[in-house]
Formats: sequence, structure tokens, C-alpha cells
Amino acid sequence: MLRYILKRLLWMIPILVAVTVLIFTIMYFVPGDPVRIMMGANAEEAEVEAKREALGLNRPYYVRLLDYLKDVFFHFDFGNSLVDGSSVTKTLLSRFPRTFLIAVLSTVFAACIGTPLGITAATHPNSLRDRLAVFFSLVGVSIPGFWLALMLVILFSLKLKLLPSQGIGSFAHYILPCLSAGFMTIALQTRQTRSCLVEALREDYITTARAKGVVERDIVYKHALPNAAIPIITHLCGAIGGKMAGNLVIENVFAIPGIGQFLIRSINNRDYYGVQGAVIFFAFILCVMNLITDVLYAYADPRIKAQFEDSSKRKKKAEAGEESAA
Amino acid sequence: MEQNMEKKFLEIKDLRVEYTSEGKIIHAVNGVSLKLEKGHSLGLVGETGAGKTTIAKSIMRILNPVASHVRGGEIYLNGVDVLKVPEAEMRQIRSKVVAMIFQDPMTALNPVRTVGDQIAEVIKIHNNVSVAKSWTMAEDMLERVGILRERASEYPHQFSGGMKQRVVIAIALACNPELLLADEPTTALDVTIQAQVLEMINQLKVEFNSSLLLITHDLGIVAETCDEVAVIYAGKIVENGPIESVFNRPSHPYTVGLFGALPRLDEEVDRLSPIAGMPPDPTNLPEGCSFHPRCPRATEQCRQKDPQMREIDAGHFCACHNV
Repeated sequence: MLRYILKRLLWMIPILVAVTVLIFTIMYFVPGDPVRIMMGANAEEAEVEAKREALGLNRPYYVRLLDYLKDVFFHFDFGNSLVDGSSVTKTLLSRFPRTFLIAVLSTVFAACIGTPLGITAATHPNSLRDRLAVFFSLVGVSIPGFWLALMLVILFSLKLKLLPSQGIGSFAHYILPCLSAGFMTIALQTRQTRSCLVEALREDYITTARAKGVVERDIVYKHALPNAAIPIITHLCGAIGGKMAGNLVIENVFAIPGIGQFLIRSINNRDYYGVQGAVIFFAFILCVMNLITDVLYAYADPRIKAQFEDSSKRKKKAEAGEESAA
Repeated sequence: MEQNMEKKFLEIKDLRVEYTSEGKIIHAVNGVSLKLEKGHSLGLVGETGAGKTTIAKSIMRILNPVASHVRGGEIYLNGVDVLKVPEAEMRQIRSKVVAMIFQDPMTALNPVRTVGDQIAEVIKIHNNVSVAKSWTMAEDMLERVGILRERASEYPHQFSGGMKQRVVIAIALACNPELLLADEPTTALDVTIQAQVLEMINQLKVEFNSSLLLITHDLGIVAETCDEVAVIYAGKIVENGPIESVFNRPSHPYTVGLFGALPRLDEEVDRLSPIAGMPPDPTNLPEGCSFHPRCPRATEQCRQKDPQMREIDAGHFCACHNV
């Protein structure tokens, strides 16, 4: 298992290098000039040119790329912002906890509501509960997050004056962002749980369990649900990863200084280093989330665990064989 | 009275089961009546889709609740109509009084739970024992079916097909059921393992003094294992009786056809003689005798009137107009 994790971590290096080269190249070709934006439209051409030279933006593409790769992978340095000269690495790290908190809280919230809804729907097929759950998940998927966010602000901040409408500071500040970010996930989680559980409840081992005289509650929770766990885990971990990288809108609506907001600001300013840093960071987070998902699989399904262990065992055997042959 | 109960250990009367699928009604079981005495074994023989498994699942009441409907009939087990008892009481009957060995050991075990756990679960449900005790009993059960007790903590995927079938059998026998329903217990296994598994079922049957309802399409297995045989076609019993009588004098044209389709060692035959045609579409059964479109002896009467069971020999019944 440890071996497997190590292997996966090593695999992340080529992936991240590829992402870095890609985003660097895209940013190189993106029209717009950060220096011009920085200095304003009235600045003298000579001044702008001097500034470009000073920032090293006039060097050829490959020189800049190699330089950037060296900084990122050997010094873990994403460079300095072209806008205010602050360290992108530091900015990302200081903003990361807020983005992370919203992603995790909203997903946990969605799991806590969506999973039981999905279970009820699956265990009472074609009943009123089932239809309501399916209807609810359809509504949930159809409502755009930013619209829901604004409606929630109108209701809870403007009318009821219960919750702050934006910014950070207290736990209460996070409630509305998490609600609006999590709403669609509730709907998806309901759907996912329902369909996986319906599928699992049709399996032969469920009939075996019924033939044993197992009560219906145990059939659902002890026999069917553990077998339905893998797609549910995939969905939840994917949701955390996706939210981490995809909460740009929610962070902007609620003025939360997270990574998403930073990314949007950087894009608007053509802040190459900011955009590249944020994108590479997101890629890293998604890689880590995928790894966590795969490790969780092993705990959910003994067959997958056996595969992980088998492959390392087989390798050891092969190595031992080679040694003895030598 | 007791004598009477003993005789009618299992009695199925005019059982009718339908499935609904995409708006169509599938007539799976169409008025089946069967009797099985305590300690006896009955072979239920028929083609795929003839309704054999449906009968077994009806006895256990584990048919899919959404798609299937028992349209009529009674199933008496120890004098109790199991189709009428409340679900909670039925759970007590399952595995304790009647247990089932499933057809496909590859899918009948829960892949994410250890085999020991799956055997211990049924023991725990029907016996008032501690968790530790149920685990020990599960290990004993494994040993009984010829698997090392140390393997109780392994998962189904770590076992071969034959071993999994043994685990399935261990689950079925864990609570010494009075009636064992074996649904094609050897179909998924290769021939060498088949013999072992059959022998084991036979042994355990004697050991626990259980009755056995063996579902199969293999007449050879029936000959080895059963006292009585019932031949089922399109959801109806067409012939039943003591094994010697039916094997010596197969009377229904379908039964005759089944025997004709068997390869024989003592006769020089170039080709086996299969029964012509296909089993009827269960959504649209033919009028009269269901077998008449394939029957070499069909007459006008067969096309119009469904034949009733008639006793043609001591305890040997056949449903055919021409016998």
C-alpha cells in the first residue's frame, strides 16, 4: 500500500510538469500586456519597455520557460506577482485555507443531506419519497450556484439580517457560501447514492442475505451500502477537488479572499505568475484528491486492496526471481 | 394428525407466479402442485426459464418484490402457509426451517465481507449466541464443508468457484434447515468439483436429516441424488413420481424427449435427438397443452384442452391426453 502511494506521488511529477509547460505556453500566447495594464494607457512606450526589460518579459520563450520550471520544481517558488511584486507562493498558501474550508464544509454538508435522501429514495422505489428526492435532485442540478448565492443573500442577509452577506471573519461568514456551493452537490449526491444503492440492492448477494433472514435495515446498511460505497466516495472526493478549483464564482459573490478570487484577479491583470501559480496549485490539489480517492477505494473494497498488494508482491517476487537467476 | 403433518412436510398447491417486465406479463409458474415428505429428496427438472427457481424463491418468499407477484396458490411448510405469514415471522423461517443454495456462487456472496462474517451472520440471527461464539460456529461450518478454518477471515474473491459454492452451502446449512432448496448447485462448477459438491450435499442431508428440493436440468444428477422427480415445462409440472418409475417408464412426451436428448454409452448413436422447437414464450403461452407445438404426438384435443395430472402408476402422475 505504502509502495503504491509512493509510486502515485512520483507519477504526479510528470503530470505537474506537463501542466506547468501547458499553462505557461497558453499564458505566453494570451493577448494583453501586463505591464501596459499596470502602468496605465497613458504611460510612455519607453517606460513600458524598460519595465518589461526589468521584469525579464522580453527574454525568449524557452529561456523564460526553463527559468520558470527551475523555480517551481527546485525552489517551490511560483515567482512574484507582476501587479504588486508579492510572492505568489505566499499568497496561495495564505489564501488556501479559506478555499479548502469552503470546499470541505460544503461537501460534508452535501454528504450529510444527500446520502440519507438517496438511501430513502433507493429503499422505497417509485414511492412518493423517491419521486420527491428525484425531483429535488433535478431542481438542485438545474439551479446555478451564483443565482442561489444571490437569493440566499437577499433572504438571510437583507431580509432576515441573520447572516453576513460577504467577507470572512467568523464562522457565520462561511454559512452562506457553503450552502450555495453545496446545494448542487446535495442533488448530485442524492442521485449518486440512489442509483448505486438501487443497483446494489438488485445483486444476488442481497437475495442471499434475504434468504438468511437478515432484517431489511441491515440489508441496506450492512450489505448494499458498502458495495455502493465506491462511486459515492468517488463523487464526494471529486466534489471536494472540483470545488477547490471551481469556487471562483462563489468566492467572488461573497468576496472571500480565496484562491479562486485571486485567480480571477490575476487573469484580469494578465498577471502571468499569479495565473500559472494558481493553476499549477489546482492541478496539484486535484492530483492529491485523486490519490486520496484511490486509497479510500482500498478500504471500501477488499478486492481493490488485494490488487494494490498483489502488484507489489508480484514485483517483489519478480525481483527475487531475477536475483536468483543472476 | 401428526402423521398427516409428517407426510405433508412441504406441500405446494396450485402456485401461480407472474413477473411484469416492460408492461408485459410473464407467466413463470402456472399452477404447480408438489408434495415432499420429511427426509425425502425431490428433483425438479426442466429447461432454463421453466420456472424452477421461481418456485424455490416463492417458498422462501425472496422473489423480487417489485417485478414479481404470486397470483395464487398455497405453500404449506410444516402445516403453515408461508405465503400468508407476516414478514417478521418469515425471517425466522428463512434459513432456520428452509434454506437455499444459490445457483451462481460467483455472485451469491457479498464481495466486501469476509466469508466467516457471512456465515456467522446467519448463525447469529437464528441462534441466541454471542458474536465470538457465532464466529467459532462459522469456522466449524467451514471445516464441515472442507475449507480450512483459518480462511474464515478471507474475502470471497480469494476463493475459487468450487470453494465459493462450499461457502454458499455452509451458509445454507449453518442453521440445520429442515428443507434445503438447491438451485442448480453445480451448474457453475466444472465436472470434478460437481461430483464433490453433490456428494457433500448428500452427506450433509443425511447428517442433518433435511429434506431436499434439488433444482437442475441434469437428469444424471437427479438419478444420483433424489427419491422422487418432477418434470416441469413452461411453469407446469407435466410428470412426477418416484424416481424408478419415472426413469423406467417416462410417459409425458417432454420427459421422453429429455431422456432422448441424453447421450448414452450403451447405444451406438450418431446424433443426439434434441426436442424440436423452442420453449414457448412465457408472455404468450399456447392454448391447451403448452407443449403441443413441440409434441410429436399432439392431437386436436391437445391444442384445445389443457391436460390434467392423472395417476398412471403407483404415485406416478402425468399430464398428457395421450398417455
